[in-house]
Amino acid sequence: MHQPLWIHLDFPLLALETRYTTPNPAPAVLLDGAARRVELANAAARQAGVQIGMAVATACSLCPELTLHAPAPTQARAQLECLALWAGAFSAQVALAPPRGVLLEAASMLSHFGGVQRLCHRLEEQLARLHFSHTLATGHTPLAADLLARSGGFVGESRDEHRQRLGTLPPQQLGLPVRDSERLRGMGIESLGQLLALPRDELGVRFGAALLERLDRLWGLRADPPRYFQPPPRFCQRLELGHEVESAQALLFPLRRLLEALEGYLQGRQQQAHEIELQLHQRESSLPAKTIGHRGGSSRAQEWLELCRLHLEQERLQQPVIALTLSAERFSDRTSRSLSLFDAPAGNDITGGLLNRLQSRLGPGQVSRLTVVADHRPERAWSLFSLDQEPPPATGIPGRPGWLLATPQPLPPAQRALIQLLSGPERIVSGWWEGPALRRDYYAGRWPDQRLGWLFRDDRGEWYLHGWFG
Amino acid sequence: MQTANTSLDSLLDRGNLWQGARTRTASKGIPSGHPELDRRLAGQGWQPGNLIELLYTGEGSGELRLLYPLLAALSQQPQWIIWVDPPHVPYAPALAAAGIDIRRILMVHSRARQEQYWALEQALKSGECSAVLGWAGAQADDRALRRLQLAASQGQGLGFLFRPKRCRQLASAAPYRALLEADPQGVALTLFKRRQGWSLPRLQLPLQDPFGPQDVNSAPLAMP
Repeated sequence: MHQPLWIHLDFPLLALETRYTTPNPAPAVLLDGAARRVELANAAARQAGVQIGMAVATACSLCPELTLHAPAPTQARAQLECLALWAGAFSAQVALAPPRGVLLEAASMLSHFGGVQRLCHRLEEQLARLHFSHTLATGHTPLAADLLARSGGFVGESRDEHRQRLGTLPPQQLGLPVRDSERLRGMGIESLGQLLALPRDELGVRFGAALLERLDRLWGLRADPPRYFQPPPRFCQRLELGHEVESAQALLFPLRRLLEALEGYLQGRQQQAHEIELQLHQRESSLPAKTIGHRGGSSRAQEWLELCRLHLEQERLQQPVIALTLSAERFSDRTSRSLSLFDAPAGNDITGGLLNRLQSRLGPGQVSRLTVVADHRPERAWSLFSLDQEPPPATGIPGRPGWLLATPQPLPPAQRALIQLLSGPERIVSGWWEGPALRRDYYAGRWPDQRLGWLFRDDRGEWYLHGWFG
Repeated sequence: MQTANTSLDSLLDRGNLWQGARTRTASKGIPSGHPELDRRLAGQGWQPGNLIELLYTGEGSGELRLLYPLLAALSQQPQWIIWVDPPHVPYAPALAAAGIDIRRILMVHSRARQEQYWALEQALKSGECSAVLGWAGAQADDRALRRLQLAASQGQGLGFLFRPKRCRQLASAAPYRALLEADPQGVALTLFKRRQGWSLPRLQLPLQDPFGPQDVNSAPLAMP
């Protein structure tokens, strides 16, 4: 049996940072519901002297370039769900800790990741890609991890380590009613350690059962199973943008967060997506959803982002975009796809990526393969072939030109007279069973400038050029 | 001394110095499929990671047949042979008859010139193509070619760029440039710019008989 271990991720500026469209934002604050006071301020705003609780007018006079954001609780909640999906790559059991935290069950994942230090290191690495301010803490109970994350972060392994650390925190961290906090201070209690050392019955009488229950959950004396987050069977996340986005390029940053959520979602299920749907919402209406395909299937956010970028580059926005929806439902189980199918030189980002990139930018119809068709009519003896299947091996026909003209080009008699015939005739009679019958005598001929062409005479005696021996 | 050596090396690398009978050892090239040509190329073939510009007056000059042996060999590798905006239909029965595994061929049709350069650049630098064939027209400027050459050196494939004959006077970053002319025996190739060497005189290369069993050199047929 594992010792229980939890990891709490705290995103103190989540409600504000959800609204960003660039990783390095200018000073920005989130206002309270009445839009009078500052509720959250980012680092740039705090540097300019803006403080939490400050009146809007004061903040604006301190920092004229301040961006003000109105609160949007549903948006922050959606972002928190995205983070829970993202965390699916690290733990099968993730719980939301609203309004700004995510809790991961870690004990069962330690052997997979090679220890708690490595696991936390990996988490930090991946978190950096999301550009959210965050603190991370472990805990032997969910509440311990929560408290430690809110008081600066901590990584420990055993129950004793966590209890020791918790003992040094001020009791106010418990989130007690203000009256209780004041009374504790009046009693000279300055740390949780001191609080726990007090006789339990006394504490119960003075502060009520709620405090005792909270302390028991914190310390691990009372079971405290969290309610785990259930990922939906279909991935569909809508992200409201903080403001109107005018250029498609600026959508890439918020989109990346959605794609990282998709990556976590897929990794948690050991699956990969073959198709995603991206829809841009505008104030009046929504643009038709774009389907973006990945031939081999992938779960990686970086690969999908690259493909989305190619799509968005072609997008000319008539109106600003206010929200994004990303959905995916065609999944397959992940096979161990080798990332270097051919020994591609270094610097080559994605294997099999070329096809995806070409199809994304040029459109699926613009990229194809060739195949030979068993048909006597020269113009029917070849065809383009879809990329989705492997064409059968082809057998060639000797004496055919490398270039075929899409439509035979008439050769006037004067021009025909200059052409020296080298081989032929090869009579081709076919196709009488469908459409007009074809009856031609084909020749190879040399043009006055020495070029070699493939020409034919039809049954009316007219000459046509049909190909070049390139 | 160090700097002197370096500049000497760079002169040698560029083939600007004539070294008498000694030819500088080049890394092994990709055989062009024409021994007469390979003999004259440093490394016995095209050096991978380079653009090769082929100038010609019009289709039918032997521009594809020149490449058939090379493409047949490259099609045995897992990488793509990609054709970007060919002027006509590359005729699958003929390519297959030339020994090319056409399952390795990828056709790309762009809708605008910018897309064409983009596709060429992506294909060249991906490392997923053994050969990239592009019909760039006369408009490709030196800057575009420079980018393509850079992409080719990243991906280490071969990039063949087909352009009209009149582009000979334009500056070009392609390390190999050749004029291709139809010839009764096959094709005449004038390699007027190449890696590690001076330009070559006009070279007649016999090509595979394009008409199958019949003799190309037989007397002209009577007019039907």
